[in-house]
Amino acid sequence: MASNTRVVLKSQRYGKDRVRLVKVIRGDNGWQDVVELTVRVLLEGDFETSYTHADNSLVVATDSMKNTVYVLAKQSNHVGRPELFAQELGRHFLDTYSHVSTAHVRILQHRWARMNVQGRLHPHSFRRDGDDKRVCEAHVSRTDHSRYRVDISSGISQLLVLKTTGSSFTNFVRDRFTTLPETTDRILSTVVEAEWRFHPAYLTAGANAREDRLTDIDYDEVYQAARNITLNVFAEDNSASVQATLYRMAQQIIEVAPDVDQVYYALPNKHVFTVNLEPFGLKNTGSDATIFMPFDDPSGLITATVVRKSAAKL
Amino acid sequence: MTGGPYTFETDNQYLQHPNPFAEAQRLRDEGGSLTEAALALEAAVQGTESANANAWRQLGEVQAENEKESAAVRALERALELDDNCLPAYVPLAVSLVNEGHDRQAYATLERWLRQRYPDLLIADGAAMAMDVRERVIDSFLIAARSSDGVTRDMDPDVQVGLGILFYGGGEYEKAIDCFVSALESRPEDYLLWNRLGATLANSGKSEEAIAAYHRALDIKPTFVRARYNLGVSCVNIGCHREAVEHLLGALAMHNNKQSTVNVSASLWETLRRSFYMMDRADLAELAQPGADLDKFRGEFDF
Repeated sequence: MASNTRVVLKSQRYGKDRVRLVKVIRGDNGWQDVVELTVRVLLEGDFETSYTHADNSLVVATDSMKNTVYVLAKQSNHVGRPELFAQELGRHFLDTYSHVSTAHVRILQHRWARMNVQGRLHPHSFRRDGDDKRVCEAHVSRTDHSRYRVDISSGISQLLVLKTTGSSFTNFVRDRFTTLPETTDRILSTVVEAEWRFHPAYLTAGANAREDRLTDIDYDEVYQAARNITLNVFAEDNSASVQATLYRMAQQIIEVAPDVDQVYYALPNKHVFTVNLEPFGLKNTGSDATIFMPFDDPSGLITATVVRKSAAKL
Repeated sequence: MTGGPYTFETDNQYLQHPNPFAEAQRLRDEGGSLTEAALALEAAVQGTESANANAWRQLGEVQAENEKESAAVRALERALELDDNCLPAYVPLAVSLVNEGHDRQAYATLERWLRQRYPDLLIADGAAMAMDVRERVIDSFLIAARSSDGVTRDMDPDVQVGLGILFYGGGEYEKAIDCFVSALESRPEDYLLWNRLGATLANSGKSEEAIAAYHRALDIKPTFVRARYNLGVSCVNIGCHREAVEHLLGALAMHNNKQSTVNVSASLWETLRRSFYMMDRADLAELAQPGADLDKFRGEFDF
């Protein structure tokens, strides 16, 4: 049973998903902060025999991975900056288990906004001010026996937006498969998925590695800027298509964030079509359209990656 | 304004040379290595030529051609500090400032040049008119362009170049291209102009035409590192990463790293790293740091 020459294990990674964590950060005079994260840790390494020979001797239990998330969260100062916490977790698994070659850590941060009670920011009460999540990933891998490569990316997930006008779609291919009419005024709605990538960093292994190249980057500022750009462009751009709006968003992020060289967006076009009320003698087309029907399926899906370009010199 | 004093290479054999300034002229005239010429000029301005604005100006020109912009800016600023009548220093300084993103300083530099070059010219007092600096300087240049007998006949090619820089700075690439093309009519062998035309074409999205202009520059002056850098950039932008890497490595090989460790070309190394990342070769990007031994890349790339 153990040896089978007809198949081979091509790739494998395993770990713990959906580890939920809330950290309270206590400040002075009763001022508190809260961070809520959902963490996924996947490990790659010499685990082949657990698949091919039912040998668990090298397997780190996923339950232990979950425990590690809590232990490190307790000790770390980085939990409020998920990008740094993610790479810290990833490096910990490589530092601790020599047979782990790569750690993939993905963290979702849930929104908790401080409550404003009678005009004053409340010291310890929060409300959920949006279902969108801040996402980040850190991939930590060994380059040789003493160095790690760290790839960090951040993004926005599940940011649902809608505008009632300021969007058109005309001049597209018309052929025998076309039934969609051109429109100069339509509802535009999408659920934003965005990801921006930072350059890889290389660190020496071990707890005392210099992290300057990672900690010098203000991930929070880049995230805030990217989220604001996404919302502003969505609202303000007189959209000729989801494609054109997407490109403007990505372009602006690269312009304001020098540490970012690549931006990816996936924007489903959540169709909202007018309802035909003609049988009832009601005008509901063009500028008279006020009643619409959202369609979950199918949706358009527009994706693109935009990268920074080098400039020539006079 | 942008840098402070010029930093010299520490290991420079020209410091022992009896006449490094004359040696620099010879190297430049014969189209020799720019790094060698820069070292000779550095030795000259550290010795007998320390107060010679022209020597500093040449050092600045060579460093810009050698794709070492911040060194170029410092040397050219020093030339003008020593002698604000050193006319040939102004345009190269304005170019370097635009390249570094200091557009307003570049326009002010061009305005100073115009006042020196055409002292009798009646230049609009833009400060009083609250005009945009760039528009004000463009107006002055257009007046200068018409000043030769009041009609736009044989235009001073330097005025054309100045206008080209001003249009380029404002993103008016078509007009900038016209300026450089007409300046080239009177100076067809000016490799700097071919490169400036190329860069303007490249930044307006015409990478293929830009590449042809860079090749003209390199045909005239094969040691022109900046044109090779720009060629690399255009290759990156049209997705030819391997070719880009080869041009960039070729440019860096001309720097002869062993002799030049103080004034490194940040732009060349950065673009090389970016090209490696785009090829998904972070392993090579990690090696691409100033001072790296270029032989490490020879196995995989021709340069």
